[in-house]
Amino acid sequence: MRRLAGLAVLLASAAWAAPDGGVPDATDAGTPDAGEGRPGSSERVRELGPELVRRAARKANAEGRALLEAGDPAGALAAFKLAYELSDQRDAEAANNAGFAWHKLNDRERAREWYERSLALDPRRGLAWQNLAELYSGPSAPAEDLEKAAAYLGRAREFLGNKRFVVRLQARVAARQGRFSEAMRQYLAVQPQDDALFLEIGDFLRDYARDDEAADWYGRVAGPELAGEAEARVRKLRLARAVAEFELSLHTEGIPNRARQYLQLAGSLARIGDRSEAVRLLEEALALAPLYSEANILLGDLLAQSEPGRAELAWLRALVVNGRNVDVLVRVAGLHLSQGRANAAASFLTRAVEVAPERNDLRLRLARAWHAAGNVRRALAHLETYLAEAPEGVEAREARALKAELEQAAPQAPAEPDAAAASPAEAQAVHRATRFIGEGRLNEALAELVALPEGSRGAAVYNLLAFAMRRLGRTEDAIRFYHASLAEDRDQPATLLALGQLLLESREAASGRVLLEEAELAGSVEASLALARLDAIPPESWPGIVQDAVHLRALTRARDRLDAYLDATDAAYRSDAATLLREVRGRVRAVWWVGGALALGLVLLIVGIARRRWGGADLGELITRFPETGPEVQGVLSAIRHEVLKHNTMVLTGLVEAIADDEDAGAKAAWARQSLLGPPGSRDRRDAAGQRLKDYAAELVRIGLGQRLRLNLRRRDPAISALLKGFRLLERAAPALDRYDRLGRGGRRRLKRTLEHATRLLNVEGYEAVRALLDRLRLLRVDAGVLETIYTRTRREPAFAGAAFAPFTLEGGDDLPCAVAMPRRAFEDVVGNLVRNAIQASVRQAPGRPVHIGFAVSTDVDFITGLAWLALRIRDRSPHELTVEMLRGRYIEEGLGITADLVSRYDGALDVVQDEAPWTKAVVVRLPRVDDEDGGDDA
Amino acid sequence: MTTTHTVLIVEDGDEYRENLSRFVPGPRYLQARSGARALELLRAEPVDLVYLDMRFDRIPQADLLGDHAAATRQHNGDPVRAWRYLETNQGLFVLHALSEAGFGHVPVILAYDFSREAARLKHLKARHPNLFWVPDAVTPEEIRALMDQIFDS
Repeated sequence: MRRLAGLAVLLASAAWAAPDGGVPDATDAGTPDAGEGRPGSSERVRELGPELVRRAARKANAEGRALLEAGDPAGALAAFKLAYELSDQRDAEAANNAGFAWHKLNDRERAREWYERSLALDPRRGLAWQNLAELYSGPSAPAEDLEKAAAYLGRAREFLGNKRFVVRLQARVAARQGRFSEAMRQYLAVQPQDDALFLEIGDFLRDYARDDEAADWYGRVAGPELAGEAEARVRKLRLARAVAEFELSLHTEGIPNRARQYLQLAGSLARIGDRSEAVRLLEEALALAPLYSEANILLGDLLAQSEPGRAELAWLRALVVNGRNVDVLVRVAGLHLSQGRANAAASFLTRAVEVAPERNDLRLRLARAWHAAGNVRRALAHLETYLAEAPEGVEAREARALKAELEQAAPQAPAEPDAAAASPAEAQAVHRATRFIGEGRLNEALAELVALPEGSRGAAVYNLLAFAMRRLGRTEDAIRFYHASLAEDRDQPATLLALGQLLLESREAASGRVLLEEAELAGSVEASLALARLDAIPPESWPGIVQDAVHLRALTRARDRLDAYLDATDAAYRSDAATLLREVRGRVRAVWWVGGALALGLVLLIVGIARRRWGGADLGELITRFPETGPEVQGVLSAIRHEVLKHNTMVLTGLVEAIADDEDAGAKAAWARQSLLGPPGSRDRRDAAGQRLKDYAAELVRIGLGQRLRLNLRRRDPAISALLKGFRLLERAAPALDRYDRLGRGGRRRLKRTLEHATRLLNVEGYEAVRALLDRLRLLRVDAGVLETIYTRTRREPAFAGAAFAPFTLEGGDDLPCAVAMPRRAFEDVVGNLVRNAIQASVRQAPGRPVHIGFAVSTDVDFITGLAWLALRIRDRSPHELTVEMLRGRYIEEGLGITADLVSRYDGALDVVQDEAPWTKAVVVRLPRVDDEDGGDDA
Repeated sequence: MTTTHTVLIVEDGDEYRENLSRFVPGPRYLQARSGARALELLRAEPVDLVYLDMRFDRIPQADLLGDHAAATRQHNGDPVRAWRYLETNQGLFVLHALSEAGFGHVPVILAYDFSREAARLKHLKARHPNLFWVPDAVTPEEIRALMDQIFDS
């Protein structure tokens, strides 16, 4: 700006001279026309004369270019504008330059405006076309802008010829437009060609997936300045596959058989806890083969607690044979860490991470080691990497907490590269790639790997490629590389594990599981954890317990695996596993508890159903255990006999007879159907015999329930079950009865057989069983002995101790024995109560005098019905008045009140009569007599 | 059996009429649903045989024959049991009424199983020599045979 101020002074003194040429257009010459200057100065400038003005404008333009070169686009813009004004706005060069300055100031719109102003003044101004094209071909230019840029470049080329910059820009624009051939043609037209152009053409071809051609162009770069870059790009072009597994199998060649046997034996002893003998055997084995890795590893394991120094030595010997044994590296690191040597631990863990980058858990271990060693930056770097891949769980939460703690302690910084790997070409590439992966520089890692010649890519390279692909989200490629790795070497537990997990994520559960199981067999404890997680996947749907029950075996397997995992020395996710184990154990227990409860419930249900179906009592048991139900049962059975059986016998046997004789059987069948089962199609079956039977059966069940006894009449009672079965048969025969006239001979024969069967059930088996039951109900044999026993028992009651009694007397003994329709206990209660009452009255009336109680029996026969009653008189000599109303109204001594009820229940009666001297009165009990053909229930 | 025989069925329902007319065809069947109605029919026309049911629990109590007051005394003063007694043994009260009314000569088949009540049957037979009985589980053939025997005698 100071220079512009000087220019103004020059103008004022009319002594201003401007050089020709300008930036960027050195060939353009401005138009020397006067123009409007700044307010207040134009008139004075014009007064200077045209030549002076033109010179001043050129001077301003040149000054602007100088300012541009000096990195002052704002100053340059002011100068170009002055030049433009001095030219009376006719200087196309100044306008173009002003546009360029606006471009530099990132004001794209004003730049376009000035370029177009320039071209309006001079359409042949190639530089303005070029600048305009460049403006429209910016990095984020849309397709329509690129199209304009291509057109403007065409115009520029008209006026500028094969200017290198224009041709190159044409090639770039064509490339971005997807016009490969045009771009290639323009690139080839760029002259002169140099290393930068070769590099650019290589990039162009690479972007068009012409890797071989690109590599060829990169190969033309000869100068040292760009050679390294070209080489890097060549390596990137060879990028293809990744691998993460460097696990080496232990070399066992040359190990004597005896040493192997010692190792095997030592392993067995170690498992059963005999450590000292195991150590001794391992020492024997190592004496035979000092570098026997497996023996050294086991020896280290056994000595780790008691003799850490020797353990370390053993493990280091194992590492001598195979320095890439991650498990041993982790063990040694753990040992160092436990001894407070965190740096050494970090060193071994760094090596482990290099060897097995896919083992994410190693990064967490390493981060912790670095943390212990006080190297916060490295710890943070590894935590970052770990958390990018870690499954959610306790470990991840702990890692996040540690990271947060470390971030507070020190600002976050990128992780430092890990230590260099070994020297062989593949190992170097793998090491570098591993380092890049650890730093999150996946592309560079891939470049390192593809730099290897095709034939020299081993399993480790494929593992890294797969790992990188996985990180890039290209699952299918990762799977492909893992497969390639395993094709090279199947004995890679970690690779099997990684591939298995990847397949699981890709919903190829079966394949994934197979690989995990293979990895587990190969010794990967993490595979065990993965399988346990797989088996312990929480139930997807409610109720979870059902899912758990269905997958109980899987849950049990998961529990066993987790148990084993927690015992493993190299378990990485111990906290997660412990948490999961607790959960799985809880779920297994829940399944057993709930399953046990359900099984118990099921058993109880089955027992309940069985009891309901086959259990229960019959009527015999009911009247035996509860004789007081006898009268009610008897009433129902009598009704069944009368209403159900009586008429049906005639119907069924008559119908069978009619079918046999083929006499009007259709009408009889219809009648049988109606009277036994109800009218066809009608729901009102109240008058049907079958329905009445069901109602009576229900009544019997109700009587049983009144005594808290469940009757199973259908299956257990010989009488009612036969009747019910008979009616079921009839119900099955109902369709045949309904269409009897349409039945063929065979159908009628079958119907007849069914009816005969039903008849047998109803009128023979059922009827006889009912009758036998009725007989059982009403028979009790009464004789003199029964009466004397009751009398003797009563007078010996404590209340009558001290009273004197006259001997037992009985009149009318000829009527005994006889049978009465009353249970024994009821009879004894009735008679005993009446005797007690008589004794009490006698004792009260004449204390100290002998008590005289007499018995007399007779039989009363009803003239009309022929029914007979046993009339038992219990006599006394007490003048104490007793009436029938007092007996029935329960006004007498306590305990006698139930007597009237009992007597009534069994169709008997009580009465009081005056008796002949020496007796004063007698209580008469009348009980129904029954014929005693079978002897009755002896007392 | 000839078709001229008349059988008076005394029952509280229609079962015997329905069944006998179907399964023991031949006689002319009359029906009375009470003792009083039976006497009316007997007085109205000659009857060769009375087929008498024992239990009448489906007719009005007022139509039952028998002394309810005496039955109540017999049953400890319980009128309900007394009614039941009259219902359960109504056939015998009808039989008694027939005899008292001068129809003791008319043979009677009582549908009641006396096989376990020999003494009772003996007592009744002494009073009603023309009393016959059929058990509950009786077939048409047995009834027919008994009727033939009665008609032939």
